[in-house]
Amino acid sequence: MDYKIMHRFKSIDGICGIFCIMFSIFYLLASTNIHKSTVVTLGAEFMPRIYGIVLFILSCVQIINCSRNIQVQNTATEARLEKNDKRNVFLTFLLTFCYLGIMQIVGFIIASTLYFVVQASLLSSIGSKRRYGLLLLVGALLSIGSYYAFHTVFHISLPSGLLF
Amino acid sequence: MDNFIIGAQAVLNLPSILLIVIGIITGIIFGAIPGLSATMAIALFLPITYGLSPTQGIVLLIALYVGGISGGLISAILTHIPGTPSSVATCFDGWPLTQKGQATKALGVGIVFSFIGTLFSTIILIFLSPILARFAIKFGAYEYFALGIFSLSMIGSLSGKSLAKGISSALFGCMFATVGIDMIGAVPRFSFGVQSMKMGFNILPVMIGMFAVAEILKAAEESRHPLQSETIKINIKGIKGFGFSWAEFRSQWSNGLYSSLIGTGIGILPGIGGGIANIIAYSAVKNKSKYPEKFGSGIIDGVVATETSNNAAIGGALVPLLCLGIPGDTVTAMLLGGLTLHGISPGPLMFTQNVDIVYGIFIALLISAVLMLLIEFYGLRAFVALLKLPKSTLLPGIFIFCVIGAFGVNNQMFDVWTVLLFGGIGYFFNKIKMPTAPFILGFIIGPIIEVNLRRGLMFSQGSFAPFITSPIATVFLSASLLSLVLSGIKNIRRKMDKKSI
Amino acid sequence: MKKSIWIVMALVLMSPILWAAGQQEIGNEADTWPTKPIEIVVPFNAGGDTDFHARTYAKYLKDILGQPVTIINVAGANGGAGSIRVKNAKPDGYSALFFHDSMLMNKVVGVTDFAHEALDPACIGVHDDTYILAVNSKSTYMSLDDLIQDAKKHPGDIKYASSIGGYTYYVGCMLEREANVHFNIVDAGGGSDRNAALLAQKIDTNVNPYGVMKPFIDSGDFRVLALFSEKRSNLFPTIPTAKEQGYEVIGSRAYFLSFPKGTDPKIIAKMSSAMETISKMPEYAKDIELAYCVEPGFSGTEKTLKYLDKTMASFMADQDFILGK
Repeated sequence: MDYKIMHRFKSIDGICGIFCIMFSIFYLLASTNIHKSTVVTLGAEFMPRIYGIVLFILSCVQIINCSRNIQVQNTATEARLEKNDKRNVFLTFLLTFCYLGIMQIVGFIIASTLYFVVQASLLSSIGSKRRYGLLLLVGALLSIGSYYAFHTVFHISLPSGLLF
Repeated sequence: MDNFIIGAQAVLNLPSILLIVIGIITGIIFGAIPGLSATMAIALFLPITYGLSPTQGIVLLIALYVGGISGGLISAILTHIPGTPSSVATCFDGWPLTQKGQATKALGVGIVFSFIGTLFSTIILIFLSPILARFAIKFGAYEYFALGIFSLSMIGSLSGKSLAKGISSALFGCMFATVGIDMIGAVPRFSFGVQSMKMGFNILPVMIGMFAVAEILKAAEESRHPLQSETIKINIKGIKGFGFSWAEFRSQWSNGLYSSLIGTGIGILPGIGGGIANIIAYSAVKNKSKYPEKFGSGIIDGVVATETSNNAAIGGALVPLLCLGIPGDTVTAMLLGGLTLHGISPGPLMFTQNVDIVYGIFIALLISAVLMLLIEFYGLRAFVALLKLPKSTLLPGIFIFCVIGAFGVNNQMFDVWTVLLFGGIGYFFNKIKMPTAPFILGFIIGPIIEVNLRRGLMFSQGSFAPFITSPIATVFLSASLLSLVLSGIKNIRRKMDKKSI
Repeated sequence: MKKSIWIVMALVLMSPILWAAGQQEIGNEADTWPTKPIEIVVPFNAGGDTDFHARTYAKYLKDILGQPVTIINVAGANGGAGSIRVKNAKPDGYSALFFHDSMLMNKVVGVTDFAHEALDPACIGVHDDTYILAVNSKSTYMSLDDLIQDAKKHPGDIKYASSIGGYTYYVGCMLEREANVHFNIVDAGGGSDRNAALLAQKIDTNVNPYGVMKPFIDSGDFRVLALFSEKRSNLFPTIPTAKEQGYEVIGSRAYFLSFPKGTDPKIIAKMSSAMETISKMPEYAKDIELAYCVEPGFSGTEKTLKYLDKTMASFMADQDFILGK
């Protein structure tokens, strides 16, 4: 296959189009599980089918569109920056995932305090000094304060976990 | 006139005024913090009002409502994260204004026009509600379907450069909204056997995820770079009043009026409220503007449209509630419950049997509007000072509240995980340059279109004729057709202009 | 090293004392209950009828039991979310669920995979026997018979509002069966949406508890044709029952309290008798009459179980009906 054509599809719009096609196919397949009803004129599976089909058509349109446009190439420096930062994004996502997972085990307060400290460190720029003590204090106060405010005053039971 | 005196007697006493003040301040706080919303504030305070007298209880709730809806603009403008679903579209122009160093102006405009929106719809509520209520009930399945189609036709102005992507984004929204138990057939869809999936996704975690988490992930991507400043530079000195000039105010007059009408109208229709009003008003104002291409780059027109309409929806939602006992949105549904518990049944007789409550509500609305204006005016500089906090501490703090808010929706962890899921989706959408506004629109409007299409067909036993014979439905369907055609023409014209260059 | 040995020995010596104290607590628990606030879960948002009835009881329970009773709202999945929460809670007598027949309906329809058998029902707090059939006052139907005759003439035309899988759908099916007619059963949303639809004459008839339609009955916008109950209500005695008009259709909603499975029967009995006391109080009767036009109707633990089992059996027998097959 011509290398130039492949390269065009690698552009942002191309990735978008391919993602849309894959999602629409997955969605349509999953919609076959929807139980068909006999009473209602239009069953529960009708609109999902429509959505899936229209998205499929549109993703084809997107791919056709992007193959027509010529994408501007990224400069070398931008590419280098992006690679570095993506790691931080992944870490943040992973951190948030762990935060939610831990919450039911150790409880809202401890989990939130830990999250606060680690996330704040991840988000601060490389050069700046991280004051872990202050972050710990602020995180703890924030978590404890909001937990008790919502628990005592409003009776929302946040996950309390083993500890507190 | 006597009715006003009765209402005033009920409300103008120290305990009630104090409750209004508390309500406004608490409402603004709930509205301003992403994750906590006006709906949550009312749901939390509702049980507390049971111990108060009926009038005191209702004025507190009204104040929370006004403060809560208005407060959303603060975080939308300052952090690009909407404080409540009613301020989603405020981010579009509010945040760029902050980036240009005009945060004070954006906030000032938002506050003043929130006030104008509340005032406008309250006046309509006071003088025109019985007529409007009787008109609102004419909206049945066919009409709501047509209205839904019309709202979706606004995607055009929210899609940016690629209409195909915009519509795709809206479709994604519709598709994610189908997850859960089908409302009409009681059949589970896309639950993959998981019990919690059967409950579907709620708009609050979805919105928090797409905006707050996506923002955090974006910050994670950019913040490590040593050149990136941790805070935004703002010039607070030398700001007079609300931060914008009289001339600018005059230029926004027609936008404000237009948005107030849209907001009030959407509020009056039961089942849809401020969450949709702000997005539709934004698109409508953009469509009729002489410089639509400037929207999104940071112009006050965008903030005016959204903040006027979401506050106008408050008065609108109270119209069917007070006249017919039919709630206009989720908040008024809770107000209905609150009134019932006190032995008051809103309905056609309310204007004669419970004059004190009805006119008490009117006066409470007016007082709340004024208080909101004053409190936010004095708080203006404080809000902007919040920007001095480094993003690295502000964002994790906001996320903790988002967790509380998401958990508080249904008291289950599933909604909190939803936040993370949609955070990932929102971040991915930003990367592949898929616009997020149509997604939110599709998520909210999709179910409305589907439910009403299927209901309508049940009513007509399979015939599509009533969809076209109903006058209201025809109006909206033709309007949507017109809107799509016009945006299509604009799109083609733009592409042709590009080619000719 | 030595210090730790002493600590371990101290703990070992203390443990029988602690264990005995713990046993004591467990033994006494049911007798001293309640010693701390009790939480009642209402599986809907605040402001609805279930929420109202729970809160009304909670108000009076505080004085009888000596501990505050807090209501927490856990909405989702038509009551499924709250039910699951209490099902999984500790059976120590401090969490309970306040729900109604829809809990059984949820299992029949598939929203949940359990019903009252997964919990320990304590009692029925109030029976709402006020299901009525109403039409718009502008319509020509003056009696239930008029409606039925018209339905016979135009099969599948008369619009009856309900939602598939809901209780009013079931009532509609019962009426269809009893009168040998065929309605056009349409989905018109929840209580207030249906009021709007009937007001605008988009539907022909609406069935719901009296309280839901009360404002419109009082204003004269709606006309009530029948009450789906054994006998007439004392609160609105002018409305004839469907039974006396020749159509034996009975609809009722029982709001009942349940504890998680395994709760001490003594605790259940205590709660049940407390609620029975309240149901006999005149102030309580006034509260529920004012808000929902309902009369007090309490049932003890045994009667409750019988009622729920019977109701479940009849729902299951009509499962195909309910699911719209």
